[in-house]
Amino acid sequence: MIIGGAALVAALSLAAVSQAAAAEIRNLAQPGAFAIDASPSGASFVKQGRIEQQTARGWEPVFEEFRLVADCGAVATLPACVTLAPGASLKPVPWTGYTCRGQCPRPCKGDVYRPPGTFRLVLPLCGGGEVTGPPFHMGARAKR
Amino acid sequence: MAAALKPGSSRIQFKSFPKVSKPTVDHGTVSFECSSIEATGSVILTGSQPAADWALGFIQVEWVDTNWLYYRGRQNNHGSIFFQRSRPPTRLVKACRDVQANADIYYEFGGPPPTVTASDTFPKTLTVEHFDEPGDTAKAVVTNSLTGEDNFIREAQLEFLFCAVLSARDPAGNFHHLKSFYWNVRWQARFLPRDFDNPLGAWHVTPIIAGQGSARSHVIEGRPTDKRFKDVLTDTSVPGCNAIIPLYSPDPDGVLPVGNAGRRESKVWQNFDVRR
Repeated sequence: MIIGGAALVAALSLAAVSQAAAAEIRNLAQPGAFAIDASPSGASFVKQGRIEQQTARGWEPVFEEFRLVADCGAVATLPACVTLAPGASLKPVPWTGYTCRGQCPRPCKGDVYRPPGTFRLVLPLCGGGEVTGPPFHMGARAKR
Repeated sequence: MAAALKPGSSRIQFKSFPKVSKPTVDHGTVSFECSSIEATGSVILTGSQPAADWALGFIQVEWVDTNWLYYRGRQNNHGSIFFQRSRPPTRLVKACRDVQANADIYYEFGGPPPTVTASDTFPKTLTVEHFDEPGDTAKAVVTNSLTGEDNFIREAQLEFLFCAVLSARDPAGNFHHLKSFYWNVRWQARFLPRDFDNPLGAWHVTPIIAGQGSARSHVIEGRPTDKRFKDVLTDTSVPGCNAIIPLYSPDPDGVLPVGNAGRRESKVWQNFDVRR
């Protein structure tokens, strides 16, 4: 058990290193806007990530269609894996806080504004592992 | 003495009325959009603790859904395609509850419903916001598998009819439906690319006036009795409205594949029965 546990810790550490090495997610000034900076060796992401919210039960997904596109017109032709060249940076279309049409136009019935709260972007890597962004706060919707 | 709902104290106040926009075609995607419906619901609880976990929220059902798209080629022998997106197998249920997860009851705009805590004093007013802005998208050009030619969206009709119910949940988990209102948004339009050789460019979009619009009822007192959806309000075995969207609008582009019963194709410009 002890050996197994140590091996698990080592594996997790390696995974964390490889994720950290793949890319970095930066929160931009506008809540829900991000820059994804590839490492000098580049990075390959699954075409869509998710936004998670910090709750009493831990981090829970609230938006699972965060597409890695700088332009919503590219959603339909997005490959399964989005590869960033070494050192490249991608600024995807920001998340607006809504659970359905939170980024690009798509069919919606219920469309719920999830903030206020603390959120983070999580991007799965092609080939396994994930890159997790730093938490950010998004406030209540402006009164209209 | 436990807490109880104060008779006659529930309120629904409207903030904004949904207005449908003329459909648009942008970079090959047709969008059907509207402005938001917004309302505030409230109720007063009287009595005393223990009353923790009384909650207030809106339950919303979509009880009628119309959603069909008709495409045709540039000329008769390029064929036509009809997508039926609101009948089985693309929509397995007539009425569905508008929730994020099938196990949810409340619509939950902006997070969990307002709830009485153990430190609250009475009378206690619970207030909840409601918001929705439904919409849909479709691809403007689809290849006809029988002719191999591009077919261009020619006409579409979408109708989403909802009922929103203000409902209190007691600590035992029983729902007390207090007030409700019906509302809907509807789009119908004809489409034509300005240049068939450049369908990513501008399109003519002509709304069909009788098929475009929105409506909202007055506030109705008490528990809904409409048999078309009253049993769906708290039935978690019925899939949620958003959960069934992939049945009619699958990834990656929302186009039902060849062979799906919701997709009918013809080698010529055919008249399809939109009711089936």
